[in-house]
Amino acid sequence: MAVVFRLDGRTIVVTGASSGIGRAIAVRASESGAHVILAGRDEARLAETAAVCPNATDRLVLDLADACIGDRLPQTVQALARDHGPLSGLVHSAGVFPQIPLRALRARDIEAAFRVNALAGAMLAKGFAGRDVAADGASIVFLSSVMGHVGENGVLAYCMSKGAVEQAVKALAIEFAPLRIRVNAISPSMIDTPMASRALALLPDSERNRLLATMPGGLGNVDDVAAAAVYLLSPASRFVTGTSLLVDGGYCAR
Amino acid sequence: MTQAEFMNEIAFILDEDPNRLSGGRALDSISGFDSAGMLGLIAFFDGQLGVKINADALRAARTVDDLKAMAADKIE
Repeated sequence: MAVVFRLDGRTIVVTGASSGIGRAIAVRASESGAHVILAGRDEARLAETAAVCPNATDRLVLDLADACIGDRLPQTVQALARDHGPLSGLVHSAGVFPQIPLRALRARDIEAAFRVNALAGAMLAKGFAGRDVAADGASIVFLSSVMGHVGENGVLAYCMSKGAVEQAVKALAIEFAPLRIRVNAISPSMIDTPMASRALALLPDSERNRLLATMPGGLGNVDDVAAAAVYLLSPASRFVTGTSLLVDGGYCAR
Repeated sequence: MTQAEFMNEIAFILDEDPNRLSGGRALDSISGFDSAGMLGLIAFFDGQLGVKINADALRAARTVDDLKAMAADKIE
């Protein structure tokens, strides 16, 4: 039974692998037998991830915030398949978390959030539609957020981008069903990462305390999300597609 | 970014008339320099100038010129 949760022989691309959740996913996927292609902005930090990733196969420096990169991403994925063989999975974990109060928000802030959080993932996924790119039963996982399901103060751009991810998952699941490629999302609540620590530190005490009080299970950790990713990448989730797996300690159950 | 562009951005974030915003203006005289305003400034400095600042640094700032100083060589 345990074999269905393994990723042996599968080649998986992980974006955002430089740190935090993306790094944890890359490491756990690798420990589960996957060959992992690490993608991120920071070459030095990708090297740090590779050092703790038993099966890191390749490293790819990608700046998904680049406004010109979108249409090149499908070819990037196709090139990876040419180099490494058919891809069994993609985890789009790269993301930005803009904390901008509404009165200070500009259109460019919303565009920037969309570019990395939603557009990049969709265009990377598009690459899987190319000939000989996807292995049979490939699985694509987007990192969404509880902020794609509920609202919160001061994070409109982020909420919009994660709502887009939720819909992208559904549409792509339908598009890719004939190709036997599954598409799902993971929706974590606040996870204990450097990004979350910075975000909490920015808030006034009253606001921070209010926010923490909304989390029945407290903060999650990166391995909570990584375990969900391994499940969605593995044969154990064979019949799961078009869904968003909440990993939120009960945050959305209130 | 030019000085004028910087001042316009600060005025926008702090919800202040740019014509009333001078370098010597005291930040605590601007009603928009509150917790939301500080979050907006932090996001602006990070996203548009590539400068990481934190709430403590902002609380220590007294004037608009202090904000300019935080932008250092990012303003022409």
